[in-house]
Amino acid sequence: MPHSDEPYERVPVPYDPELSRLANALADLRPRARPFDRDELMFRAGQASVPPRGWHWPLAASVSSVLAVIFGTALLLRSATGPAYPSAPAPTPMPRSGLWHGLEILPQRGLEPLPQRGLETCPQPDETTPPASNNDGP
Amino acid sequence: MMKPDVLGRLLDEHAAALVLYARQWCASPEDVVQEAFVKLAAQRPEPDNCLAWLYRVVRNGALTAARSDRRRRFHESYAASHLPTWFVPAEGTSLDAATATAALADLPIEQREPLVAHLWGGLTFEQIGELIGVSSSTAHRRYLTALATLRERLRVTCPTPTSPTSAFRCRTTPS
Repeated sequence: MPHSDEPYERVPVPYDPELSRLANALADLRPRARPFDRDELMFRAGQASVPPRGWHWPLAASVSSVLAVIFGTALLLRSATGPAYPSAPAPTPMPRSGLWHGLEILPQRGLEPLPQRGLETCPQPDETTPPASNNDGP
Repeated sequence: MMKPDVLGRLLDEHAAALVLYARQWCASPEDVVQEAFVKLAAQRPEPDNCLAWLYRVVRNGALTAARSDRRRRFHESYAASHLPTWFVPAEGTSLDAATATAALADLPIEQREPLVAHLWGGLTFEQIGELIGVSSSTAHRRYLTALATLRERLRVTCPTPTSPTSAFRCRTTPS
């Protein structure tokens, strides 16, 4: 039992041996206490000694969760109202070229149609165009 | 951070005295003391004087526990008469545990508190004064008054050690 033998160390008082003996007799008594569960106390003390986590990570997790919910809800509402893109216009037929138009009207005019084969491999203009005549030459 | 061995040593050496100190106010002093040790482990930085810090926390906890006690019947000297002795009966001690308990419980709390804190807690009167909010001289005066009152109640008849009317058997004066 912690007991100081110098109870008057800071306060000067008259020494009374009778009171001193009584104090010693009282200090010899051992206080009654229910035994502590030392393991439980040490476990709780260890838990309490761990510093509390900061608020940064919980805040970041909460903000991320809220944003995820907002974006998810927005995506669901957007899908329910249909596509946001306009429908593509129907394809229009390409205008016929002058060559095909000629193929159609030639038989109507009693002319012999042009060979189909030649159309498949239309000659390039530079091939069909005859070279410059030499008549202009001297 | 409080090291486990330091905490264990404080628990071994001072837990019983802290329980006795808290018992003056509340019905569950062990719980109050246990909470105080847990709070001590969580303290950053570690208090300069752990023992004085523990007594302060135990005092506050015991007062809070007493206030929250709805029955309100457990109060100071009244509670003492309804509780077992505050001390462990032992052979070879000069005072009977039950007699000392009754005598202590009859003391006013203003006198009993510095007596318990000094005799069993080992606090200095300066620490006791800070603890209870009075000067060290006032704390010491109350301590002496408590001892004088106890001497009267225990009917000390020093230097007649074997007086049948005395519950306090005086020992030889220590050299």
